[in-house]
Amino acid sequence: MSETHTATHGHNSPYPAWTEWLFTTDAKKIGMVYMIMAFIYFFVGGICAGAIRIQLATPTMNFVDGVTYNGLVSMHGTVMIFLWVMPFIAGIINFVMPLQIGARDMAFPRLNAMGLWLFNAGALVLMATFLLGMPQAGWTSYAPLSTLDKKEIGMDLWILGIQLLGVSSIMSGLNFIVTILRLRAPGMTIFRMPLFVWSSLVVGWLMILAMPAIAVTLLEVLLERHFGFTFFGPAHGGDPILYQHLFWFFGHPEVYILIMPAFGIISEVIPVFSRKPIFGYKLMAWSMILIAFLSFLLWAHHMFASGMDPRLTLPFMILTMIIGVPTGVKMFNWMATMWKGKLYLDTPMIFALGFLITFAIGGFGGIILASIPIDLHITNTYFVVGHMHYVLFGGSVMAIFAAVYFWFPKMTGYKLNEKLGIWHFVFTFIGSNVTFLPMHWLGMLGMPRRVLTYAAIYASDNLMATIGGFIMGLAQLILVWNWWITLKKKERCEENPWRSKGLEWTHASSPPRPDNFEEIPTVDWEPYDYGLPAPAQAAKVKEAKAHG
Amino acid sequence: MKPFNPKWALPILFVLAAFPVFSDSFIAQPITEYGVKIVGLSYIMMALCILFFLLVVGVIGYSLWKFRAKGPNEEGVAIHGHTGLEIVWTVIPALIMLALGLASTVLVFDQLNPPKKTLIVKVTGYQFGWDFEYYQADASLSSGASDVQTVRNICGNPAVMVKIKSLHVKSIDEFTIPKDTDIRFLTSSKDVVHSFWVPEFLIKRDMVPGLVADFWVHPNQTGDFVAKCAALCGASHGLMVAKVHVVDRQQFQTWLAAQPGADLSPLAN
Amino acid sequence: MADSKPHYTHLGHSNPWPFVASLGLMIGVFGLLFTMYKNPVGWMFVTIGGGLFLIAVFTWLTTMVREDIGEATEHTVPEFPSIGKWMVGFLILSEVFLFGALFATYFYLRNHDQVYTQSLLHYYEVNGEVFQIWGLVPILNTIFLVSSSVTVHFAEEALRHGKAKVFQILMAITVVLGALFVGGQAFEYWNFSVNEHFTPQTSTFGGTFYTLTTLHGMHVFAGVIVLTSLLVGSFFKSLSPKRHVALTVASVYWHFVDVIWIILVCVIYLRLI
Repeated sequence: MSETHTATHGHNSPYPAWTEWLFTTDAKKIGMVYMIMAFIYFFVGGICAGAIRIQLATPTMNFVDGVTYNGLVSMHGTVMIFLWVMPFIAGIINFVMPLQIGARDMAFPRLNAMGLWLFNAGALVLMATFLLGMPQAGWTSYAPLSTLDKKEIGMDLWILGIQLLGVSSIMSGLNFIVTILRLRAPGMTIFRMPLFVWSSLVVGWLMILAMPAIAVTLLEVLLERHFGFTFFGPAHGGDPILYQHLFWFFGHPEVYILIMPAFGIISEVIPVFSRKPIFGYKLMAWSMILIAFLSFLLWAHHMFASGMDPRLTLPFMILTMIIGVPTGVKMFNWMATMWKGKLYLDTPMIFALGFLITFAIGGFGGIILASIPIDLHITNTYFVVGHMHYVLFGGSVMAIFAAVYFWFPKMTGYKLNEKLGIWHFVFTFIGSNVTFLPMHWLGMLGMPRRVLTYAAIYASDNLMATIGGFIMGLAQLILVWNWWITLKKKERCEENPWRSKGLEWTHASSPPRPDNFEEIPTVDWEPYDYGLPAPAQAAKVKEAKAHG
Repeated sequence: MKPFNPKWALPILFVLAAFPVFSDSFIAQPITEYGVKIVGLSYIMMALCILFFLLVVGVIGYSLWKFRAKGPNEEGVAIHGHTGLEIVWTVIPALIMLALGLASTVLVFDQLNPPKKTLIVKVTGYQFGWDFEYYQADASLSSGASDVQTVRNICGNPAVMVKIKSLHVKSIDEFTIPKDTDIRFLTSSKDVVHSFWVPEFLIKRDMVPGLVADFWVHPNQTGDFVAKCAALCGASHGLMVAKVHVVDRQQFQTWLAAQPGADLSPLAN
Repeated sequence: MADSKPHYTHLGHSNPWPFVASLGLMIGVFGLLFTMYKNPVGWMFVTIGGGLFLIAVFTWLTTMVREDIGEATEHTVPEFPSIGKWMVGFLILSEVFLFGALFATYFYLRNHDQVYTQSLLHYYEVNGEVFQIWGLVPILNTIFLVSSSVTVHFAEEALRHGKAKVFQILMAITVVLGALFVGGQAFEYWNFSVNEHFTPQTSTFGGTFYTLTTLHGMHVFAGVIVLTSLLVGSFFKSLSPKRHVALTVASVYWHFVDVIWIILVCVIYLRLI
């Protein structure tokens, strides 16, 4: 078979056809598997959430018992973080990033495949808990709760599953970093990279530096559970607070892993649909680096009430407030990008706008939580549940939806139905706000988190949250329906329906050929080269007015 | 059909969820001096957040109205940035954070310096109940005495160091405290991490096995309240509550004296 | 400027080994679980899973070595040089954080013990006496490991100057020294547990000591395997003096493992901080 045939058709495998998706090392295929699996687990996590919200619909509800409830709470968080957002991120970066930098694949395609299958392995280990017993200690698994019951098989399954997932993430991170630093097309200097690529680089760093901490933490938990080691049990010189330090040293950068690619996605979408360059490109890149760096210094803001030395909590408060500044700068820059642009409200842009609103609410909640005295009241309450869901759902997931609508034509050659997209947005937006906004005052009024019932005065807000939750959950069926009819209709759209100037749109077909590009371009242009210079813009407006 | 304009989702959202229409307020009613300050700071922060949020919504809404493209193939103005603006929206938020940080630090020091002589209630949590034991703290107590305990926070916080003498009063799953008195809570646990939270105190502290943590209050109202466990501790975490009775000083003395085995002599100072 | 031919590793290729390795790990994980719960089926799973994993890794490694030592074709040689070196650099950075978390555990628990018992050295006590872990075996192990870093460095140097035989001898010495280290560590564990009654369960110091040194020992073991594969591979086909990424990567990794040992010696054995 000739080289060209291989390049355009990709059939060069000595293995049978049915192994194509199992053995592939092509980043685009690997990316697709990640993203499809991620959406499957999104629904699994959603079912957990549905069960939780049914139990919390009324104060006298007896839908599940305490053990099942704690299991659902633990699995909901675990699945959404490790099996939905993180793999989707890995998937979208795999597909889009090499195209955006003018590379044909990742630097280490086999390592890439290893990351994918380790993820699938870890996911199955976690899924086994639904059959053998769900972990009881939340996604945070504090010791001694996680070390005391040696017969709780769900806890061990959870530990081992997360370990596999952690290794997978480290492999992905290594691949992202080396690919971005070494495989960019000629002419694409660091400051000509799209911001989605910047966010992928930063997320790679976060993954390789944060995941080792959870690996060590869970190793220590396992050793204490079954091999008689003491790290956290006070009876023999251990300290439960050590667990919290170790866990949150991973846990805090982890949540920045979840949001950083969202920042990148929004930075891609808004310029395209505002027909304007991103406002403050360099600052947007540097702010991501600064945020990632600072994120390693904040972990104990999850521990203000833990009994750790209160004097040591002050620097963590200061740093948490500091990290709010570059995050705010990003918000303002996105809004400034829209200002004096020409706004096109296609579905990706609508989700990006939704992100701006809901991520802002989440961010404000975070600033309130940063204050130690206020946190001592609202930590471990529904306020935190509200805050985290605004940044995770209102932030990461909104951006994921924007990415889906934005890059779907690139991946398939078809455009998702706009009307259905808008309805998907409307019900998701309304549903999520109705679900999560009341949680802020539920927490401030006195409702702790991870509880299966509550005092009667919290009943109406909880019922509202349950209703919102079901609106939000059912809204996702609109997206599924959209996929179904679009893929069935097979109606091809233009190669670049959004008139984007990104390399993935201008130099690669939709869907791309197996080796991505016919010729690797030499990049001699700046990213986000939209808009007309002010004088030309003014002249055009004048001309348009003159011709009525 | 014209795409649905998302700015209409917001009023709908507000009507449905924006106001705590089903509760009197959005935060627990404070019954301590410290609690009043926390509520005050919360109101200020909420007000600032709502203000900035309205700013964000306003700018986005205005942009949607003013800069919407009317036809295909239009282009915006190629502005790449503006250093002055960047400085403004870096410095102003930084200054606001600074102010909030300072206000918060003042309240942190409030808790770091408890009064020297307080009633002590030692709260020990376990799956799924609470032991409340009463002591009197007094720095003048001699460490050598057999009935004087010195409490230390294992994590090294010297502020928890306190000498206490037992009143030999213990209650389970509920406790009574006097108003107009400095009361210090020492928290610990027998098994896993729990958390002691009376929302009306506007402060919580984890109950951790192997160490003693603390916070202090000065109640200025009487009433009955509920303490809740605020850290996932097992299957009945959601049911782990204790009753709180805040009574006036006279009633408290009477109650104390009526407890079997009570020794009120440490209170004599 | 266009590139004239597709230069990418595994362009449209399939490779079953990542899938097989992951499958093996998953089966092995379930096996570990069954073993911890005293289910006899556990060992079977661990063997099958471990076996699959090792076969996959072995095949993968040998393919990489073969690519590196000159069987490379246009389809398998990456166009971008030095990505292997960059990868190992970032891997080392990640591992620094891994060992860092364990060192943090060590220091935290020591400080905790000091505050709790108001004694500086109680942390290190076994049966009431401060346990002396520095001795002949760790001294020898240090000599072995540091020497092996020297030999692997000069092995690479020899290869670069085209002295294939010297390269092979020095590599063999490196491998032997590494194996001696692992053996020494195993002996030390046996001696501590059986003769001195110092086990991981003895105290928090025991737990951190064994966890740290075992994790390090496993890294040495993995390094020995990789270096051995390279040595064995060189008997089938000589490594190229100009391009031997696998060797450079392995050698850098070996130096890192050595540095971690030095830190372990200074902190844990000699208690310099």
